Amino acid sequence: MGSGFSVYNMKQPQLPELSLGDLPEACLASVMEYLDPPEICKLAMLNRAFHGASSADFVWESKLPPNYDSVIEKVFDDFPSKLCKKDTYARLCLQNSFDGGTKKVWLDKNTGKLCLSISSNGLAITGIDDRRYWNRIPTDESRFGMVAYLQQIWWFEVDGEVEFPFPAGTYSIFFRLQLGRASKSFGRRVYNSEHIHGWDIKPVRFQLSTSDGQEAISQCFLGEPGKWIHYHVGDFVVEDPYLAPTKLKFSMTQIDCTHTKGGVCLDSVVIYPSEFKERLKCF
Amino acid sequence: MIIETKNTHTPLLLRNPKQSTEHRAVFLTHFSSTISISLSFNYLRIDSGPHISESRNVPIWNAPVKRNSEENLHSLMSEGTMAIVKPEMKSYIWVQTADGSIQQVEEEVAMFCPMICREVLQTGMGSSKNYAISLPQRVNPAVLGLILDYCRFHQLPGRSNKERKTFDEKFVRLDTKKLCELTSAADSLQLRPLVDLTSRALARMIEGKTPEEIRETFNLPDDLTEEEKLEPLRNITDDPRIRLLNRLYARKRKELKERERLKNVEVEEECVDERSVDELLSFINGGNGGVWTIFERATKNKKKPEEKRSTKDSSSNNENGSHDKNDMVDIVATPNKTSILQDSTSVAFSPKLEFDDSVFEDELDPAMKEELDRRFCHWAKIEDLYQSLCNGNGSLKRYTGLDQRQ
Repeated sequence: MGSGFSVYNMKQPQLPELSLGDLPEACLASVMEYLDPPEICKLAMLNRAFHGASSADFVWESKLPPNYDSVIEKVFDDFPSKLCKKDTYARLCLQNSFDGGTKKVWLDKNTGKLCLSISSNGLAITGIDDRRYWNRIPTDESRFGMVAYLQQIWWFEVDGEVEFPFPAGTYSIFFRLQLGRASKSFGRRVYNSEHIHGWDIKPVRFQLSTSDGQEAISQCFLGEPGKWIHYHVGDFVVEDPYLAPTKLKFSMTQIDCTHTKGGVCLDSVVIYPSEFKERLKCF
Repeated sequence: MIIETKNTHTPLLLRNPKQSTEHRAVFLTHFSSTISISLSFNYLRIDSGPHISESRNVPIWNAPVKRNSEENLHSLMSEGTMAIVKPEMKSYIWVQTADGSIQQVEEEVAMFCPMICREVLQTGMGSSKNYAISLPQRVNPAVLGLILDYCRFHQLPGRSNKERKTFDEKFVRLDTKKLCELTSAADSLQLRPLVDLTSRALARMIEGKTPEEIRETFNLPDDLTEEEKLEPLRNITDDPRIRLLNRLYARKRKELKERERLKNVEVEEECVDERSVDELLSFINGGNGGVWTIFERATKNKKKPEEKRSTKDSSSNNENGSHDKNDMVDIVATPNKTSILQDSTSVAFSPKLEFDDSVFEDELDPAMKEELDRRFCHWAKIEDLYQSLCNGNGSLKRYTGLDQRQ
């Protein structure tokens, strides 16, 4: 074992062999730091030492977003202060409503990344008050229990803005839409496509801008009736959440007034970390 | 960190030896300068003014120090001292492991460990065999060798990041026992980089394995009592699935207590299973518009004729012929296990429903779950319920924590 050793051997009994179960809880906890939350929870049921180590504060603190205290401040009115980090994480993983129920925010429980959803109630929809154009219909296919359904309109514009302390990272914004109006009939999901028209003439324009100058524009044709589709608006990057909460403005427009359009359900706008883009299929 | 040198013979006292990382950083920078010194035989001129000319041999550690002991040199850390290194003479530190064996270690290698470094600086131990530093109990000679290999590699500042990474990857290719020993020893020596490295390696071994596999790989005792495993979960959002799970846990706990009380009586495993399955089914039946009643209500209009048909057919097969064909609820809740199985052909939730013997013994194992799921394709909520009750092993799944675990 290398030069420079001279070992003076003394007769000693063999030291007991160490296994994972003999590691002190602090060591176990540092092993757990490198696992993701579902694994940690699985390990917690293994034995007493793991159970203790899995509740270690520093393990869960590393899973929380770095600016979680500003998130808590923004979202909760009264957050219990004595919660251990594990419970804080669990609490933040629930879909927490704020801003009068128009928005929901949660942490993805596997990765600890923040997601935000803004309901149709929290968006500025042109003509929403006119029942000839838009209606609000209850449905359980939406996180908010309610979607806005368009019968027909010339000027289609949906705007929204949000200010939130996003943790650092790259995020993507999507509009969650469906062509056709879905309902349940005899326990089966059916969709009513009678009002769908006008989406194949000109594309819909999506726009995004942030307070620090990032912008994105995209356009696409709405397609595939009967399914909830996330239409990608653009991406934005949050560099330093501690400077100021991120302010976003986004919109979706189709204002070519030579034709009417209709038959679309607008559920919400969702903001996910960009890593989740692949995961987003229907619903 | 301030170091005072009063005269050449007194040792250097560190005021603030607590930041071990600082130690290490300073060590490294200093060693690089000492190495360059050794090569060029220059003196390092520093602020200590008039002492420079006198202080050629600056012993690091305290008395009992023999002036001509080890070889002159070095020394350390920090700004106020001078160092001369003669390349052929190395300095050694003596350490003693828990089993009593004492060995010499090259100084710069040993000083890479914050704990040894601190011992040396604070107490001056390690200068000779009689004053060897006792290492923590978790460090046995074999593991010490590994740790010193690690230190020897990393303390050299000339290594590139890629070299270090390659070394690290090779270094942790050990069996699990050795890895655990290494983690434990590195932790007691406060060698943070090595703890991180081994923790990551262990985490990679653990992830993706089922609990049973982990227990086997690492030889872990299963020392949580049954009761602790059945602790009720905190249900912040009043999730009905969690409510159901807590109720099932409560029932199981009650069962356990019963078993404890009747420890003397021989209870056949089959009977126990049967009872709990019954309770399970009757609970599902009875409580809160349970599963079967929902289905019953919905399918009453449709399935009745089929029921009538199949019950008529199998009534001759029934041992207990006294079942009301419309009352599916009662049939399911019958305490007689054999009758349940017999009646399975007659209980026509849908004409093809069949239950196996093995199904009930395992309490909703995957096969049964799939069977039921197929039947209740319309009832997404119920499907969800079963999915949350069962995991792949057929045992009741525990909500371990993210959602609401105490």
